[in-house]
Amino acid sequence: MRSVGRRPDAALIDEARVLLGPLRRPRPIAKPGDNGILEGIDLDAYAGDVRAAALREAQRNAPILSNELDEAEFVTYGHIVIDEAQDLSPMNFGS
Amino acid sequence: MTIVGDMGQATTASSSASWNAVLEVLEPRREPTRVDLTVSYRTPEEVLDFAAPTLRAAAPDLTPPRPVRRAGHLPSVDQVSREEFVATLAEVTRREVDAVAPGRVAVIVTGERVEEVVTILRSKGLDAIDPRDQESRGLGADLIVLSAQGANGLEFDGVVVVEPSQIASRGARGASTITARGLRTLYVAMTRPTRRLAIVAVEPLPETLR
Repeated sequence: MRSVGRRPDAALIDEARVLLGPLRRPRPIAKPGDNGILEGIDLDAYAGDVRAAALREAQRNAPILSNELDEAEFVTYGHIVIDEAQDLSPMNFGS
Repeated sequence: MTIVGDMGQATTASSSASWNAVLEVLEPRREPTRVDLTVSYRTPEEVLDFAAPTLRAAAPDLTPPRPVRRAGHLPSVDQVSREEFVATLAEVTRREVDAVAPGRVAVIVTGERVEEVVTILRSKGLDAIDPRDQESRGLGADLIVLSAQGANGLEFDGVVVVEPSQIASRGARGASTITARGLRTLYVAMTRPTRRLAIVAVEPLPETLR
């Protein structure tokens, strides 16, 4: 059987995922008015999940609808994993 | 953010050496959650058993990983005279290549000896390559020669470790002094195979392999 891939650590990442539990995802911060969708809508009229869903939808659509793209809206990562971290120096982490 | 690593495989001179040191630099806003991964999914039991004394010497505080697979093959050790070295290295390498075919084999040596070992193996009719060679198939080739410090994170079906004492002396001022960093580098080298490990040496083996 030929090994597939060079960094076959999927099982380890999987184990870490189970041990660490579900991710606490950072809530996307949509800015009403920036995105062309929520314009003129009083978000406060909607409560809880609906409001959150509307914000998420706005976030998803924002880069398509807006001409002036806010770079911060693109740079949204689900989660960052740093592998082989044993070899990083304190300075690597600091910068 | 998840930071993953094995301090038993810390092989750079500037390694943070402990997770506490890492956290001191990062100053996380939330209390970090630490979990210990204790299972080795890659390395078979026979190889981990063989490498365990080296890990103990290199990183005494670490709990050795628990294997989930068995290879059905014990690591082989060939300690030979200087005159026999070339023939033995070629013979062992050929045996490993044949045993794992069509899998991949890496011959792991100190950085200074990569070129020499490629030349030896090629002179014996083995298609060994240095994966850093731009013209080559790189790490995808069936038989590559790799420096021990370049082996982190890689895996192969079969691995031949050449002169473990030289690898374990890494970072030493004087020749042939075993260092903790050298032992960790040797541990990394020996734990690359998914199936078979072979050792070829002229110099006396480090105590952890005797």
